[in-house]
Amino acid sequence: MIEVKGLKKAFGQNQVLKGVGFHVNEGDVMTLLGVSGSGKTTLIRCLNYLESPDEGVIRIDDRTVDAQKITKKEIIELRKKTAMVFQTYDLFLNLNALQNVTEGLIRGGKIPKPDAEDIARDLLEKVGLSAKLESKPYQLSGGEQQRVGIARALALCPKVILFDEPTSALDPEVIGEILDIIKAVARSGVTMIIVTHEMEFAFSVSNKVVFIDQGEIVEEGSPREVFLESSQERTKSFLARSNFRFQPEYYL
Amino acid sequence: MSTVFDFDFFIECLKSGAARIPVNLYVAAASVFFGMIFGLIIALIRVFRVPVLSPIFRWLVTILKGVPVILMLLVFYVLAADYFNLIMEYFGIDYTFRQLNKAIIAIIALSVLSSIGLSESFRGALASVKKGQYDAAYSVWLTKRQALVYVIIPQAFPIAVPTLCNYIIGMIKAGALAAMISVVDIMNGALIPANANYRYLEGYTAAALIYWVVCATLEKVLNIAEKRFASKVREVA
Ligand SMILES: Nc1ncnc2c1ncn2[C@@H]1O[C@H](COP(=O)(O)OP(=O)(O)O)[C@@H](O)[C@H]1O
Ligand SMILES: [Mg+2]
Repeated sequence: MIEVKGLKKAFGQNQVLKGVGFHVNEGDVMTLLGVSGSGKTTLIRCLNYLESPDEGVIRIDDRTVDAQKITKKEIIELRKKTAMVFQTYDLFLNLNALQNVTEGLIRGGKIPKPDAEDIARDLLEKVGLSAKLESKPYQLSGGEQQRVGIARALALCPKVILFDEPTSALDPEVIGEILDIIKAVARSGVTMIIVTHEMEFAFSVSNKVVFIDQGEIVEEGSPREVFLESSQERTKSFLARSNFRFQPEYYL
Repeated sequence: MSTVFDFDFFIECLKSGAARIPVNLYVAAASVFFGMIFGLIIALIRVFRVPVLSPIFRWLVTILKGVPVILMLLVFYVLAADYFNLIMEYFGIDYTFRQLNKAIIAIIALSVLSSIGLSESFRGALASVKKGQYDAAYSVWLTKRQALVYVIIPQAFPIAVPTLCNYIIGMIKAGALAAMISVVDIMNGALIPANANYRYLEGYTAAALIYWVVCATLEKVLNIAEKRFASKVREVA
């Protein structure tokens, strides 16, 4: 359902993505692993054109774009296949929780306001925020903000939700709650691409793991193949330095 | 000229000047209004580095920022005096410079200055909105225009409000300079009776008092607006 071919992106002299390709099937949960600076953020930001790749072809659902001849209209159409959850939440600071969720639905999705509000209330309840619909971001804790961030992405019913380190900015004690919400979303069958440093979470939530290093995909496969059976030196040394400790219950 | 300060005459000047308060108010309001519109446009052009236009405005802003208000007024006045009749004739309109309301010249000159000044303030306010707000807006399918209208400008505007309020006060005061191009404002209004018998002290004192009352009142009103927006600034800080 998602296919990426030959994706290249440089910032000035810094070639960040060196021809990346992968594919994701409908309902897949793909986690993207790699050290800081390896190009994970750049890669998923290219998928919804928050970053414009220099070269490459991206197909999401029935929409295919070629980076070298993409139009503004195609960018909007490609974005309409995706939604994103940000590391720093990036809620609209001038809007309350409910409006944060409805804004995209009303303006981008052209859904009538009352319907959008129903959708938003429903989703905010699912993420446990019914009591804070009117709260502005500055009145919410990090964990609460990220719940809104997840609801905002879910509301759009995109073909794929992109998560960029959704728990990296959170206090340790709330990370688990947010990961549980993401797991619940995954179980509901939504296609997702997740950048994360939470190795156990990655192992248990995804059915596909991609390991990226210095702008290249080093290895991809099932969590078992990458975490437990990898023969690649770079993967093995990355995992050895990560907080991943193999817990038998995950794979039994 | 028996007394040093003729109080009855002072009251007369006061009345004559106060009758012109609306002139200062509409000159200031119009100048700030146009300044806001063009200032925002210039700020957006510069923040988004629109090719060709952005460098042009950068130069214009740098040059015009240093021009004193009085000079700007005189330049526009002289330009209008030289060319207004020619232009009207060209279009076959029966309207001469003599008939032209000089307040319009003041509004144009002051609008240019406030556009320049406010563009700098708006530019700073727009730049203070974090890049993540654009990313988030685009990620929920907003277009660039929608992102600006519904997310970016509402966050930037409260930051620019204090400068905006200062500009409104400044434009009221600049109205006194418009008197130089024969706009009959508070100042010229207060001096009308004085011109007849050369009792200028009463005239100027009356003008000063009126200015003081108008500015103090306005400052009170604007303070309320500033307070309201200050709480908005905290939200986005
Ligand atoms: N907007 C940008 N401008 C310049 N360089 C950037 C930009 N974004 C990322 N980079 C560079 O690209 C490289 C990869 O960054 P990133 O994709 O954020 O990696 P990761 O998410 O894996 O930590 C880094 O060297 C970073 O400095
Ligand atoms: Mg990153």
